[in-house]
Amino acid sequence: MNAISYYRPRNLVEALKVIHDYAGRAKVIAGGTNVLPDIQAGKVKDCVLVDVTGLDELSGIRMEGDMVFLGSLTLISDLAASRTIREQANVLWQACQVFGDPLVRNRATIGGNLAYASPAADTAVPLLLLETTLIAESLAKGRREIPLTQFFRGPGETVLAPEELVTSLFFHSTSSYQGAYIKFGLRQAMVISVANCGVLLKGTDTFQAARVGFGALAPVPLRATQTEAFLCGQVPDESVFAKAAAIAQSELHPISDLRGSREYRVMLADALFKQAMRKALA
Amino acid sequence: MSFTTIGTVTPRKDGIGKVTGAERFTQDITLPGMWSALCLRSPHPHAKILAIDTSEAEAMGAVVLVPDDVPDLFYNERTVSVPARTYRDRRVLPRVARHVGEPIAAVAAPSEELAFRALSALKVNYQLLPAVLDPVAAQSATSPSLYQEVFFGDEVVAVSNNIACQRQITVGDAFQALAQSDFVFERNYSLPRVYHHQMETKSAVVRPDPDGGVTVWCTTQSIHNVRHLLARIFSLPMSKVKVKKTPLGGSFGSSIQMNTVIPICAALALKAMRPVKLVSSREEDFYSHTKYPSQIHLKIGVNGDMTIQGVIADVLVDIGAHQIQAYPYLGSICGWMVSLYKWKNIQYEGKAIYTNKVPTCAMQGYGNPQMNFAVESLIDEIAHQCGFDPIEFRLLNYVGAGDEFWGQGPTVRSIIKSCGVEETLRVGAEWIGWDRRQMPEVKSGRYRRGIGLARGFHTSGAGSPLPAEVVDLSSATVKVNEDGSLDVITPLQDLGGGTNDAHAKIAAEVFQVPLDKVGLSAVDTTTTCYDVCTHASRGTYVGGAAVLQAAQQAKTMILDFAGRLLGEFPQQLEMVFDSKLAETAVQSIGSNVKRMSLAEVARMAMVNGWGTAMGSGSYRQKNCPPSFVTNFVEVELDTLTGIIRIARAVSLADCGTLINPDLAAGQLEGSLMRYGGYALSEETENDPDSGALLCQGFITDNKIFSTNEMPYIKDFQTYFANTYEPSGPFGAKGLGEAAGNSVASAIANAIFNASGIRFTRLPITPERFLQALCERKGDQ
Repeated sequence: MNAISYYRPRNLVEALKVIHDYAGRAKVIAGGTNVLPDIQAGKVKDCVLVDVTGLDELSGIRMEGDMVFLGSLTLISDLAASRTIREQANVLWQACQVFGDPLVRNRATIGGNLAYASPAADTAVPLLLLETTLIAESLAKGRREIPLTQFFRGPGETVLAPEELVTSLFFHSTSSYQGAYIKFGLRQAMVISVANCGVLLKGTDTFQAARVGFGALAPVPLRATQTEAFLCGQVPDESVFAKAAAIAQSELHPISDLRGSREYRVMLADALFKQAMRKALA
Repeated sequence: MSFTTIGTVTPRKDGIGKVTGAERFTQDITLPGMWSALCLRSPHPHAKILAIDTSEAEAMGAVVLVPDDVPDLFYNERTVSVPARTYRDRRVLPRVARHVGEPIAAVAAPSEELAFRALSALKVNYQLLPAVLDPVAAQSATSPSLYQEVFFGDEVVAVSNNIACQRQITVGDAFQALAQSDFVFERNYSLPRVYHHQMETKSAVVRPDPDGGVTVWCTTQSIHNVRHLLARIFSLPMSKVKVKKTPLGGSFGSSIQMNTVIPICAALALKAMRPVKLVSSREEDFYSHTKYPSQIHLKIGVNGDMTIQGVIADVLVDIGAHQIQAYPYLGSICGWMVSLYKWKNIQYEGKAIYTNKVPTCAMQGYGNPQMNFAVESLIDEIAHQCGFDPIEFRLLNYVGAGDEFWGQGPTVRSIIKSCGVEETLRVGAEWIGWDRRQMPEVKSGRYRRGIGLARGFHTSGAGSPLPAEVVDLSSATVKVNEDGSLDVITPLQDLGGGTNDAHAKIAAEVFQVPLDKVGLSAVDTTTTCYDVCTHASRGTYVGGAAVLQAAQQAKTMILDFAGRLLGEFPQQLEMVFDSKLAETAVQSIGSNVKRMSLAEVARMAMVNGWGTAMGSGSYRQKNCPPSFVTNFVEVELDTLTGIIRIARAVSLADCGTLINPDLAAGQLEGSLMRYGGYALSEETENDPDSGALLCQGFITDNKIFSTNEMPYIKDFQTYFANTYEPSGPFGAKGLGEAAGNSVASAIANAIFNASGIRFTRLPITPERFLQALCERKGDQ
């Protein structure tokens, strides 16, 4: 029997209580851009939907010093229109421009995009590059910080406990970096990435710092740490990009699916990485 | 020829309703006491339904429909072909499920929620049968079978090796002709299964009437054919089956038949004895119908003087679980080939194979995009290999004015009277810069551009001088109201292309009244005469001709009334629009000495008791003129990601007189987008093991192209040739399907020009393109 019940808590305490009481069966729903299709596909059944869209306190973009704080319910469309995000986290801002389509951006939340843990999630790579920390809350464990690099465990799997809710995230401003996010889908809008790549670079003559991330090219969105290590201290030119791309390809383990084969994704990693490097430095 | 209303750009009559949301589509119909219905669909590709336990659902208060509840009558959902040439293999609910997603039972309940609960409470005992999922393996002696026998007309015919039907067509001796040709070229082409992606999902609302009949609102291209089938299935006189013409949210051919959900909804309504609404979800709609996937083996003989000597074609069609129009499809796809070039000798064999997949039905072009891709790809290849100029080669051999055209298979033929092929080729070549195009060998770098061309056509209707295997008949009524305004009454559905606007314009032109004074009546099957269906791009050419005939009859009556009132012979009177007084007048030809307003004539005819001026009747076109379309496309290939972009394009059409110029341009623009997707992206294939669609019915991984994939406005041009079709209303022909048929072929030819790679399989996805590029590098 496909029994789905529904709660709409009025505040965070209520929400945490419901998730706690139904731990394991509770399914948090915000924008619903992932959960509703999953219900329709029969992937989600027999659960307690906890609609958190009434928790206004979890929404908003705020700066303190050089730290940017985002409520987990902040809409992608708000990020895409935010001057703060454009200036302090441009690589995330770029990703929000190509996220879904206007209708999806108006519903989807940053917390939902991360917690759903799709390897292709458009905000995951930029937030990895921004070295984001998540804040998860629960009645049992209270409040804890989770570095995003340790958050994803596999497709649809995270380190969140069943009773935990992502309430906010924060990262340092990267206004002194040059960044680029390249999404590759089979058409230009309202698609899931076949692969995506982001880079965040510091230094013009030689790279003082380099952060490189890939999505849909492994079971989780990831940072290509060996590639980053190679790039540091290098001068930006095509031969360096080519060597770095080869290292990056060795760090990825893509799968074959309806959107593309493993081999194709490996080729894309090369193309998208070089494109991202050029775009960031342009 | 100059017109006052024809050819002007006007707001659509249904435009305000559609953009404000006021238009009521089938899904918007709500009736007092109406119940909601849902279908139970088979999760198995092939399974016998042994038993369905309905007790729990019925205990909830739902009405359940199972195979035993429906009349034991086998029909074909589509009734466009004559009955003797129609295969029948389905009943309202089957006793054997033959594809994943086939409805096998249905429930109706007071609320949608209860219907969902009742549906989940149905328990089905299936006996799983081995599934047939490959159209080639299906023909082997050891393959399981979908059917032992089906009906053809009134005969029972045996089905062997899952061959649903086949056709052979021979003209001259192609084997000998090819043996004697200077060059022979041979290729296999493969065209994918794709989903229509029409906006409105297939839906129905059925209300049982006190007289024992039914009133029906439904997603359909033909209200009269729905009525025919419902009357037959439920043994009702047609006078008790009232099918309302309901605005349609697009179709692309997906509702040429009485959709599967309509008789299910009717059976539920009759069983529940209350109005029932049955709306397909998008996922269910995916499992309802798809386009015909076709494999085409083509062999062409040509001589060094650029003359074509003959063609041998073998077509294999994977039709899925039911015949909708496989037999006429096999005839039509041959006709599309026959009518492209003067082959002289033709050997054709077509085979349609049953498989346990979603049934296939017509989709924009009905085999023409498939055949066009094969022929225009091979013609292009021949020109390249033999060093012929691709344009001159086509101009020397194309079928044009004075030649015979096959508009819907071998029995629907007429002589071509208007033809703009040469004009479209010359103008298009100039615009795209054909003379400056370079060969693939000189191209290098990440992004490579190439220019390609293809030409095609589609029929306007399925009329012919003699009755054929396709029914083609329309009807219309035009009446003049007592204030001089007009009502146009037509059963023809507007699929979204503005067909009914064209009808209104034709009537406005005859009467010289402003378009605003012409109304389109809300009608149903009891208030209109028969029209077969809006298909085969016949809405304007055939339906419009029926309106023209009715309008001219009504005009004759008006002139007769005016003659009596003015003391003048009717033949000496004409109708003109007086822009100063903003009224239509009836006056002496060339003079306003004797003059009355149209409104006054109509009013006095009423006051004097003479009658309402009106015209009404059936109409058959005796021709099926082709509308020709040529596409020139410039593509840009990204050799790193494989993405292929349509960088520039010009679409040139010959559709005779333009009635709705902006909507006609819209057909060309929309077709570049839609068939760009057909060429480069769309594929709705089945899982070879489970028989389910790989996309599982979700749009998530089954996207069509959007405006983002289109060239910039300055890089895309539409053009209309200066032609006039003598048999069409005010010189018009159809366009809807012609617009798309050669787009994919032009794109593939442009890809060759950019890369040197010939693709014989669609879609040419980024991955397939890169793979081909890598394989070629491997060769070098």
